[in-house]
Amino acid sequence: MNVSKHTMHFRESRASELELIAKLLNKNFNGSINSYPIFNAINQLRNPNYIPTLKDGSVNPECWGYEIEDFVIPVETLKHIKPDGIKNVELILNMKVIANYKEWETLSDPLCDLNFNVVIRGIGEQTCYSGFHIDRHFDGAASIEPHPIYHLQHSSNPYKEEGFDYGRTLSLDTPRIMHYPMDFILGIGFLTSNYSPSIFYNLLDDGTFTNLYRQYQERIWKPFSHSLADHWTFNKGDIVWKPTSTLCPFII
Amino acid sequence: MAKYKFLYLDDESDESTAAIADGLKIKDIIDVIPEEPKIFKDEIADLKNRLKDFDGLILDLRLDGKKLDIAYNAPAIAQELRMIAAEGGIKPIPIILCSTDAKMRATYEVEKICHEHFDYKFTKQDSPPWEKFARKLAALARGYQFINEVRYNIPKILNREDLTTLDPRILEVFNGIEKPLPIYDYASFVVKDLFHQPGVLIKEKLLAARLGVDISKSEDWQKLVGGLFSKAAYTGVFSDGWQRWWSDIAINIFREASKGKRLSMLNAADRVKALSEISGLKNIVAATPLEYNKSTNFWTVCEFYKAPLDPLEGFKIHTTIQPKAWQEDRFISFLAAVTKKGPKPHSSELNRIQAIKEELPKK
Repeated sequence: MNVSKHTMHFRESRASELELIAKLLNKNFNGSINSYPIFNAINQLRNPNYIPTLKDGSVNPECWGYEIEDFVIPVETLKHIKPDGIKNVELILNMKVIANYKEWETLSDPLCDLNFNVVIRGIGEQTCYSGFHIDRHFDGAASIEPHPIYHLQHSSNPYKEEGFDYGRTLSLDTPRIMHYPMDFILGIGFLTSNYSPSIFYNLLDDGTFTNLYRQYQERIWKPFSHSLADHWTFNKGDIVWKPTSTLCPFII
Repeated sequence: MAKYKFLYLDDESDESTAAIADGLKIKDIIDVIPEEPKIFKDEIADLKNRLKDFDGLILDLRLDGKKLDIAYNAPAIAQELRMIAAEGGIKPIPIILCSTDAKMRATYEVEKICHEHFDYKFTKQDSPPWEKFARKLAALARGYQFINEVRYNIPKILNREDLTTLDPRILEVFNGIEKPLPIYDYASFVVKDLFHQPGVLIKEKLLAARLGVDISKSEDWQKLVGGLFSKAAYTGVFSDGWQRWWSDIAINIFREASKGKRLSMLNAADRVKALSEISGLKNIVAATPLEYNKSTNFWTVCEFYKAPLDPLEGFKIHTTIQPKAWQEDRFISFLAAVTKKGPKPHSSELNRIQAIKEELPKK
């Protein structure tokens, strides 16, 4: 199966954008990240023999995508962390995104598949784990619970109980919270703004990052938000819930 | 102001050497004494004795004139002198490389050689900007003395106190060392790592790009940078030869003065509008994109046209020396890439350039 020239051109642009973000992350994390997993993703985008496989097992040469494996981000927000004594926390991001390049500039779902899986690993007296994932629900998957197409699931201490014994954490399915789709670039904004805010603000002062971030919000979030909003009829002028940053601080 | 004295070794004809020496003596900024090179051993011995009377040394790239039995080149002398200076055998002085443009290009990885041994290089060309060269040479001579005077103190060398806000990797090489490194290491760090590659320090054109301003159309540009942004000007060592700005300080000045706006989030027109409101200056004009480009969210410049560019619309350039993680990449625009002007694009960009070229509407 051959990947067309058009698809390869498109993939080349996405690869060079991932190169820009890799450079930015190397610069802004002061050397405390390893960008190797991003370069693996870049190589996948540039390799015409790599065609990502969709969840139903099919392959479509018009689809582009990449996988990021074990990309580690140090966590600086340790203020409310439990159990006590956790000194060192990191996020481990494993993600896979697949999309059809023909949907990139439309108001349709920009992605065909998404797994954005984050493990939070804290080291104290013992190693503790938490985590969440943002998924695109596979249309063909049988499930009883209704799944918003993009949703976030995570586990935590629901009553925020003082002295809660995390060893007693009840493990059961948490609600599927609707979530907008993510690629690596939007994911970096989401993760750093929550867990390494000082890095996020530094990135926001870098025009290369804001230009990348704006472009990916436009391509990936805009169709999602417009399609959702289009469920109701409305006049743009009637929108009083402004600015957008009060709804989501990382929309730029 | 003291006049700095440079010894200039060149094996070219007397006339051309004298012409360069005279050129560099423009406006009496520096004094240049031209000489023919001796054989290597004698030259080193002679320099060891006499360099104390000079503030700098200029070397022609190839010292292989007819009068010498064995030809040698400038890097060999420079390397030897750096070693002797590091051992305290001679006073550390700036060493400058000069040659014809053709020789510079033809020589094996001149860039790399220069990077390792020389403080600065200039090319012998048809109408050289002598005053610019002379000012840089004087700044280097003065800077070498200054680094020694301030006892290798980095905040004094850079004339900036709050260095902890910078990436810690930048100054790591100078931290926790038992005795100061050779002066050349400090000088080379400032000139090559801070001045020559964008990063914490940026040139005027890059500052203008980030502020969204078209310098050529903005009569008030000097008032703007000399007023609102004066605190962002680099005033450390060699600043009398190289004009640079601290990028982070410029960004913060804008944010504070505009009550929270970020340059990085505004397009050129909005940046300029905010700058006019803050400064009260009316003659500042927003920059426009180069042909083929649309974005005015400028954050870099095209290395050929020296015009503002959104990095997303640019192409990384090929460099002999890989930029450090804390330095920024340099870019060329599509216009420069497609017309094959200026620096070569990075090999990873070639497919993308080709792709965009093929998608251009046929004329």
